[in-house]
Formats: sequence, C-alpha cells, structure tokens
Amino acid sequence: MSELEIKSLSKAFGGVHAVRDVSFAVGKGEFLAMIGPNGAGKSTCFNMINGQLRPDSGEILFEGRNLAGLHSRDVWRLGVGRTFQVAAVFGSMTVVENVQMALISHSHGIYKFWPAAASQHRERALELLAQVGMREAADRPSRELAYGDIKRIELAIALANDPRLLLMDEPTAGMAPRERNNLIALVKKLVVERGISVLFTEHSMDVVFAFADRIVVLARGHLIADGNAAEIRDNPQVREVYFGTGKTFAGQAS
Amino acid sequence: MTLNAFLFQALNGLSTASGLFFVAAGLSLIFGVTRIVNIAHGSLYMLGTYIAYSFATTYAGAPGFWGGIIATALIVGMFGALIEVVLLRRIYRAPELFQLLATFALVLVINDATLWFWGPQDLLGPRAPGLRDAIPILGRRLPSYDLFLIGIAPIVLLALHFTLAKTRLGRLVRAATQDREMVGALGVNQAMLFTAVFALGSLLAGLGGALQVAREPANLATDLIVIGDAFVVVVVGGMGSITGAYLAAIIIAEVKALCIALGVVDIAGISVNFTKFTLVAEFLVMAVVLIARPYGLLGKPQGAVRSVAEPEDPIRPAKWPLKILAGLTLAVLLALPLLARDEPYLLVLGIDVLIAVIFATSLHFIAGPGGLHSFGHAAYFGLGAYGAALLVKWLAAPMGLALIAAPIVALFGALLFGWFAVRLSGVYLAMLTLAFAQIVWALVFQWEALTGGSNGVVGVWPPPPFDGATVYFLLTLILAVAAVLLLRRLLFAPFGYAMRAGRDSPLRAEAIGIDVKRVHWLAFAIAGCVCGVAGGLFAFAKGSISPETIGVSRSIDGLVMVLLGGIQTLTGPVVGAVAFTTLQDTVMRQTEYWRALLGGIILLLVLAFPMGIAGAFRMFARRASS
Repeated sequence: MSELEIKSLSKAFGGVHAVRDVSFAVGKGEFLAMIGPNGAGKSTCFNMINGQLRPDSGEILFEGRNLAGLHSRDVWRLGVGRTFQVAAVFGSMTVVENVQMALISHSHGIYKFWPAAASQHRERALELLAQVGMREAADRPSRELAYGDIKRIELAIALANDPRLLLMDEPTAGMAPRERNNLIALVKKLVVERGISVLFTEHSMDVVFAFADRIVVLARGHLIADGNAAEIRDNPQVREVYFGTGKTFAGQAS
Repeated sequence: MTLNAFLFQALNGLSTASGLFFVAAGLSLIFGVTRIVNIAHGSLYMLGTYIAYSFATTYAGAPGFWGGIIATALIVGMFGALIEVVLLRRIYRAPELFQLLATFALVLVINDATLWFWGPQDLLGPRAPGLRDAIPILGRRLPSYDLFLIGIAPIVLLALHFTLAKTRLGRLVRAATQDREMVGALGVNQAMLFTAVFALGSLLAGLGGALQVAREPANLATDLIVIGDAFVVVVVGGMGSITGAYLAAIIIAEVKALCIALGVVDIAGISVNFTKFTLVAEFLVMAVVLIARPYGLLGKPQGAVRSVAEPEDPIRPAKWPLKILAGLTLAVLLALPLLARDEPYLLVLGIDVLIAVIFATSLHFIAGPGGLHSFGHAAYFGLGAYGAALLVKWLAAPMGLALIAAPIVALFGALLFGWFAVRLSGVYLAMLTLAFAQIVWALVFQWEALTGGSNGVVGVWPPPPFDGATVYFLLTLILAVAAVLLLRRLLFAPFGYAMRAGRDSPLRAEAIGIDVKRVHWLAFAIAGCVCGVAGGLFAFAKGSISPETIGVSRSIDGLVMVLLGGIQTLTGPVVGAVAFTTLQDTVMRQTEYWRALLGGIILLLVLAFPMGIAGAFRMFARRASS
C-alpha cells in the first residue's frame, strides 16, 4: 500500500494553473524525488500536502486519510514532518531548544505554564541533534549558525514527531556540492533505519539520480513523467522540458 | 423621527466625510509607498485648521479666506516634506514599533508647539466669503458651505486618481506601493519619491484641516480624534486604496449620522440614546469589516514584512548578579516606608512606580516575546480600574472583592478583543488594538449613567488598614512582585516558548503542531488580565478613576516604558517603568510643555538608543567580560 497517494490535485492562483490534475504515489519506505524547472508547481504541491494551501480539487491520501484542507499543524499531528525551501527555525532560541520545542509540541505539552521548558525532553533532543551531527552546537543561539547547519537542525526538528512521511522542499538549496551529498546521504541513512517514506524536491540532478528510488517530473503544473532514474533520463518529454527541442533557434542557425 | 430629518442628517454626514477623506487618503498614500503609518497625520490636519484661521483673520475677505486655504495646504505640504527629510529618512529601516512611536512623538511636539503659538482657547474662523447663506432643503436649512464640502471630496478623489493613473509620479507611486525594493533597484531616486509622496499626503491633510475652518473651531484635541477616525477609515477602506478611503469615509460618517438621527429609541422597554454611541458604532463597523475582509473593503493583502530586527538572544534564567540586584532592590523597597517618614511623597511615588511596573511588564509580555505590538494596552488597565471602581460605587463591594474582580473584567475584555487582534499583524494589529482601546474609552466617556462620564467615579478609597500609605504600598509591592515573577515564569515555561516560536516563525511553529493564533490569543488574555490588576490598584490608590487616565496616552506611555528599558530583555520593562514614572512624576510635572518633553525623549530613544537601558547594560557587561 502507498504511504501517500495524490489523486487529481489542482490549484490555480487567479488565472495561473500552478498545479493541474497531478496524480502520483509514494510507497512505504520509498525515497521519491519530485523534479521540474522553476515554476513547475513543486512548492505548490508541497504546500497543499502540508496544509499551507487548500487545493481547488483532488485528494491527498496519507495512509488512506484525506489531508486536503487540513491545517499544517493537524497534518503534522498525523505523522508528517516538513523542512522548508527557505529554512525556518526559531531565531531567538538555542539549537537544542528548537528541537525541544518540537518535542514539547509532539507530547502535547504546549499549554504547560509552570515547568521550565529548557529541561523538557532535553535528552531526546540531544540524541536527535547527535544523529544530524549537530550535538556540539546544541547550546549555541540558532541565529549564529551557518545556513547548512540550520538545514540540519530543520531535519532534526522534522524528525521529532517520529514521522512516517517526510516532506523536504529543496533540502540542499544554498549548500556547497559536497555538503549537499553529505546531507542527502544522511537523510537517506536516517529514513532507511526508521522506514520513513520521503518526498523531496531538488535542483541538483547529481543528488536526485544518485539517491532517489523513483522520480516524478512536473512541468507547468502537469505531471509529465514518473519512473526510475534510467526511465526519466531517456524520457523525450523530460529532455524537451529541460534542454528544449532545439526548434526555437533552428531558423536563426540555418 | 421623519424620513426628511433622516435624509438631512445623511447629507450632514457627507460633508463630514470629506474632511475625513482628505486625512485618510494622505495617510493611505504615505503608507502605500513608505510603509510608515504616520500617526502625526491628525496633527497636520489640526495645523491646517489653525494656519487657515490665522490667514482668514489676518487678511480679510475672500483672498484671506480662499487664498489662505490654498496657502495653508502648501505650507503644511512643505512642513511634511521637512519632517520626512529630517526625521523619517533615518528610520525607514527601523522596526515598525519604532516608526510608530517616532511619529507619535511628533504628535506630542506639534501639539505643544500649537499650544505655545496659538494658545489653549478654541479659535473659530469667519464664515466662507461667497458661501455664507444656507439653502432650504428637506424642510431645513443646510449651509451652502457644507454642500461645497460634499462636492469637493469627489473632485479631489478624481484628481488623485488621474495623478496616480496618468502621471510619472503616479506610476512611480503605484510601482513603489507594489514593490518598493524593486523600484529602488530600477534606479528610481527613492529619497525624492518618498519626500514627494510625504509632501503630497501632508498637503491633503492640511487642505482637509483648512477647509474645516469655517465649520468647526480649531481645537487642540483635534489631532488624536482625527487620527483615530482616519485609522478606522483607512482600515475599513483598505491600506493604500484611495477609492477605498473615500468609500469608507462615507460609510463611517453616515453610520455616525445615523446614530445622531436615531436619537433616543425605546428597545424592549429600555430607552437607548444612540447619540451617545457614535464612537462605539464607528469601531463596531471596523470590527465587522475586519472579520469579513481582514485587509479592508478595497485593500489587498500586504506582502510579508521583511523583518529587519535582529533576532534577540535566547532567554536564560537569572544568574547571580541579577538575583543579588533583585534581592537588594526588594530590600530597599521593603524599607521604603521607613525612609519615607520625612518624605511622605516617596510612598505615593513608590505606588505609582509599582503600578507602572505591572502595566509595563504585562505589555512587554505580549509586545516583546509575543511580538504583538499592542497600541491599546490602556484598555485592560481601564477595564480593571472601572471594574473595581464600579463594583464599589454600585454594589458597595469591599476592596478585596473589587481587586479580584479587576483582573477578571480585564481578562474578559482581552479575550474578546484579543480574538480579533491575533488575526492581524504589524500595523493592522497596532491600529486595531488602538481602536479597541478607544471603544473602551468611548464607552466609559459616553455611558454617563453607569460611569459618570467625564467626571469619572470618585470616592473609591481603600478601607482600613489599607487607607494608610504604608500598608497600601506594601499591598501594591506584593502584587507587583507576584505579577512580575508570574509572567517571568510563564516565559520560561513551554507556553512562553511556544509564544516566542509563533513570533519567530509562524510557518515553522504551525508545521510542528502549534496553533499560533490560539497561543497568542491566550497570551493576549493573560497580559490583559495581569494589566487589570494594575488598573484596580490604580483606582484605589487615587480614590477615583476618570476617562482621561485610561486614554491613548497611557497606552503609549506603556510602550515608551518597554522601549526605554529595552524590549529585547526581560528586565527591561521593570527598569523602564521605574525610570519613566520617576521622570514623569518629578521633571515633567514641572513644565507646562511636558508633552513636547516626552516627545523629545521618545525621539531620542528611537534615533539614538534603540536597545534601551537594560539592553545597554547587557551590552556593556558582555563587552567587559569578553
């Protein structure tokens, strides 16, 4: 059975059809990449699945339950983790407090008014930080960190609710190539250990072809291809979207 | 009431709407381009009336009057340009809260300058040459000058519309309203554009004020009344929309006219005097519009405000130096009654300071860690004070009961207003909270039968043994310490962390299961509740409570205290409340021009000292240790 099943998902902003009749599925434990040029509708897809946007039509079935139109906080409670394209952490907190915040929320502890938050779930938070390689920086203010490290903290936050599905919108944007591979290798290792399904977008094709189990391709809001790395490489429509057909300049070249 | 009387009032409302439209259009235009809400816009309007009065009385006849109106508009426009160049240019990149406070400082300075130049008495200008008569209409006589005012607003609307649609300046204004950074990147001289827009907006306010010279006397209270109305109009019409401002000005003026026309009506056996509820009705209209259309009738959602403030340091539990300092302070305060034997005033000052500490700490709770910059915290102070005082007045309640009721009344008010407030952010939140505070003020001011109107409630004295200053001081001290420690504890608890999480990144907070609006709503209610304690204590300390003590200026005083101490520190509000109240009770009481002095202090804070006293101490301590 699929962990996540997208059925005929559509969303328009004014006259622009950002996502049009898109359907695909993420299998249990699958590492699925969603690729496509800028403006293809990837982030819109993510924001609908994660509850930041309400779809115009279509279904988003997570373990058989429709997520369409739920708040992102409710989607999270069902077991979906999320990292953002532009990393979002709590700048006025330390690194470990960021993760503790997610753990506090996961254990329904937000409306506690007396105990000190800094002592809640600290051990578990440090464990998560150790897994993403940020244990040493635990007590530093998060605003002081380099961007690549913030992406790692986001990952630790996203893992705090023991998600069964992880949504990662460009997890390596703004990182150096070497750092990129390290982070994705880390993600892959963590999710394989825990049996988490992952849907991620990525602009670096090296990363995608090296790590993804399967790839779906979006262009101008449509899903144009769905298959493994070899199938996607050889798909003529994908080539056209990424490299053009050569027809545009044919007249001038002759 | 006849239909004719009703229509007549409607016409009257239209002529009022024109003045409102001029101010609101200018405010909206300036906000669209510079993203600054100019609280001093009402002051520019007021200046317009005063200057036009001087022209009309110095030069007799039509040239003095009509020429004076045009000259006034130009002078106020130039004055606006001067303000932009000298002050606003320095704070475009400052946090929103600082911008709002800086323009409020201008309100204070301009008000005292007007008092100094024109004196405290109301000044009524001559009637308009050429438009002195009244036209019989609907069985009554309507001044022809009012008809002129009804006609001129749409003409100015069309002229503005044409300017925005067809001229180069208009294109730049529209472009900058959409994306100011892009316009800058395209090589447009932003400094010139901003100055020009500010001058134009000021000119409109000056014109609006000048045109009132033949209708209403120039009055020193105009500035805050007009800016309150203009806020409502701009919020209802939609920030940045000129047509929206016109539409909203008419709606607001007509709703007020309707209230006056209805007069006293019997509803289910109770006679309700609607003329007393004009202010309440106005703000109810705004509340309804904001629920249905959060960005106003013709407004568009604002692009996310790019936060320019540095994220603050993580909060840490108090270390030894702070704990020792707090202990010493407490010891001195406990010993104050002994020290005050020869200086009884010291205890009165002490009580004032402690009440201010509760007020400022509760405001800081939501404004700092909560990120909700409330410009109407006085509402909860007022609800607490009146809640306690009215219980004593009408039910002869004992002080203990009244002091327990005070925070409960404030809590209910904060729950009600907060539900709306947390749905907005930035300047909209500031304006809405200010408007809610005005509703509370208007209620106690206009509902004379219950609250005693402008006279307030008197004879709210504490019973023995609290009637002595010493015992009452100790009671206040206990409650103040409890309030400060409680709020501090909350900030270190999971709830306080969730509140900061929602401020730092609402997107991330929601994505980890935090209901940001609900957390902030609850925080708003807690802050209001604690503030109610301050109100209750205040009523018994002074023995009375009146509308003027719960007005806009108290809300602003609170913000100044928080900023003076340092908004990014937890000890800031306490330090700020002590410094500000001591300053106010000693220095500012000595001069007639205390408003200008306060304005000067605010400007100094905003321009030169944005981290506040506690923030500066922390910075020095860190430098010394590193």
